[in-house]
Amino acid sequence: MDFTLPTGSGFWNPIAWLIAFIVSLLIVYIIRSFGRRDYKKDTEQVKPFLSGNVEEPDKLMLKSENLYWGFKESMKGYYQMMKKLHTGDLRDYVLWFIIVIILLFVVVGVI
Amino acid sequence: MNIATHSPALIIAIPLLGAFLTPLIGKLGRRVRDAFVLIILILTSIIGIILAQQDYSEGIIKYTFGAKIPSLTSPSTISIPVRIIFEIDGMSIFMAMISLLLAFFAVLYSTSFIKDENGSDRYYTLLLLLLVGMLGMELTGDMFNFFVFIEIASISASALIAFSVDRGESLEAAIKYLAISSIGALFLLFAIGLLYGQYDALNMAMIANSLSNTYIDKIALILLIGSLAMKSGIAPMHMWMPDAYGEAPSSVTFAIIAATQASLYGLIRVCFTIYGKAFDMQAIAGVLVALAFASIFIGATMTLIQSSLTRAIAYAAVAEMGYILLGIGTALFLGVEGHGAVALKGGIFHIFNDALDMGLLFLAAGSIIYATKERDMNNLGGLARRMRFTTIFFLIGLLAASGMPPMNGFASKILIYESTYALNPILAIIAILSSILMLAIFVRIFYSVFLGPENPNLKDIKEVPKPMLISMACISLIIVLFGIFPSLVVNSIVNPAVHALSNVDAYIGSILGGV
Repeated sequence: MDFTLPTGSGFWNPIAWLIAFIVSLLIVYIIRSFGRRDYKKDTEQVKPFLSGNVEEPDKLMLKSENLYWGFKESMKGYYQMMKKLHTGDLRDYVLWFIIVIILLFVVVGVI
Repeated sequence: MNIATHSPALIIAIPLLGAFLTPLIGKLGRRVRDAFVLIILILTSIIGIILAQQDYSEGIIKYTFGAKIPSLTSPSTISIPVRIIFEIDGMSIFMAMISLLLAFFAVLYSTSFIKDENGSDRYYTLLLLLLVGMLGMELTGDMFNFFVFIEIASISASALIAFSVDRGESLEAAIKYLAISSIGALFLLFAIGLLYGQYDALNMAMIANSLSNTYIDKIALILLIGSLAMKSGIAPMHMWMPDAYGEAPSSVTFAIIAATQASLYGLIRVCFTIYGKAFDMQAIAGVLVALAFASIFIGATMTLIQSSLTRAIAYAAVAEMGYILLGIGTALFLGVEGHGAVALKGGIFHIFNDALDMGLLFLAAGSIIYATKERDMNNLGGLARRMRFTTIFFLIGLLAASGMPPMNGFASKILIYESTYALNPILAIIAILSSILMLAIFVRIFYSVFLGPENPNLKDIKEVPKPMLISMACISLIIVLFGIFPSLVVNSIVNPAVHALSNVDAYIGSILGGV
């Protein structure tokens, strides 16, 4: 059975990728085995360090809206514009359809 | 009756009959009804396999409804095809396979998912009618018949979106879907009318053979592309998609993905088969590539700011439709040879992959909603402890949808990237970066839903019932197999579809050549 998919300029062989992946896992495992074995299980050593603060378990939960805050903040202008465009108003949905139709009329040279 | 001869009619008739018998069978009990619907789908799938075998061994299948001999497309005294003719080539079969697969697993999943809901008889009737609509759109060779089937699919889909009548959001989404579908269908009908007025024909092959590049032809082309692109959820006409996909029951969304792709199939058919021979499609290809990038970028970035799990996946689905359109647009631009053929192959392969990947994500999201009654990601977290199988399935879905090797999404996306690079390297770079962005965003979704500390309110939840797990497991298995054996998939089902689209003369000749 041929596993190689020609992609125009090159090829893709998932079996070769899987072999490379398994070899990488083995290397990672070997490197990991060089690590220290004298850590103390079930002590402070294995807990995440939160700037020395002791937090209640329910406050440790990072909410979805907090994730990628920096990315969203840096693209604030873009997101404000997109929120304005996504009104949820059916009339606006139809308006976008009309705009695309007009664009097609111009590009195809009918207008 | 020879089943093989009449299989094009049976593939529509069986689910149609099943749809109307379901409420009656439902009187015998839930289990009997569920088994009946599954049997109907298995029978329809068997007919689909017979059709596929016929098509791959004998070439294009034509079936004339009402003719004494089904293969007789034009009576001897008339020079044009006058009856409804199904014309089934590799592309039709490819799309029918997707519709049948998704419909089967949607029903299997639903047997548990909607078990406690009222009106489940009507639910299965509508689901089978949706399948009828999709299959009809994909197999017909008649423009007006295509319009009829798109209407059947749209009406059943909007009723299914509104299935949870106690949720205002579902009803709003259904109304929007119905309105958008109706407007799209009316423009489609207007375009068909323009073509009929010019050429006295509704048959696709006949129209493709008659097109003379007139002013009216151009207007019809624009209306066809605009309306079908809107039905396919291409940006900036994508806004109905997060509403419909996000608010419908997940099993319904799973099936509606196939309906959306059936509209995209219509767009591909118009661009390649009907207009591909007579019309210079370069300008249209440019617009399609631009719309594809808008879909990819808007879809990927808007996924990030969603708090609803299903809406987030719906925006990702917009981006995935963009990738398919990018492959199609590039192929239209470059022609159907060399890199253009690779683009077309990638685009078509990605149709199947998109259906599987996004479908699996929606099924996993549905499982989460089923178990937690919660769709806001801010209120979810740590579910991997309680829903281990769903976690694994969601992970497979997100890796595949983000185009991570060795999943199926990577195999089709690499074909699209390489061919787009031949068109313009910057376009390929943007496409790759958007896919990476998608992966990063999916990691955020995965973390907020499955990882982190356990939400105290969700400590009592359990894994979902077996039929739901089996559906997700089967889809996951297909995803992994498609990823590991992409050349097998491309050679067996994608290449015949590509060949069908690039060989317009064979399509026209099979109808106009008579018996």
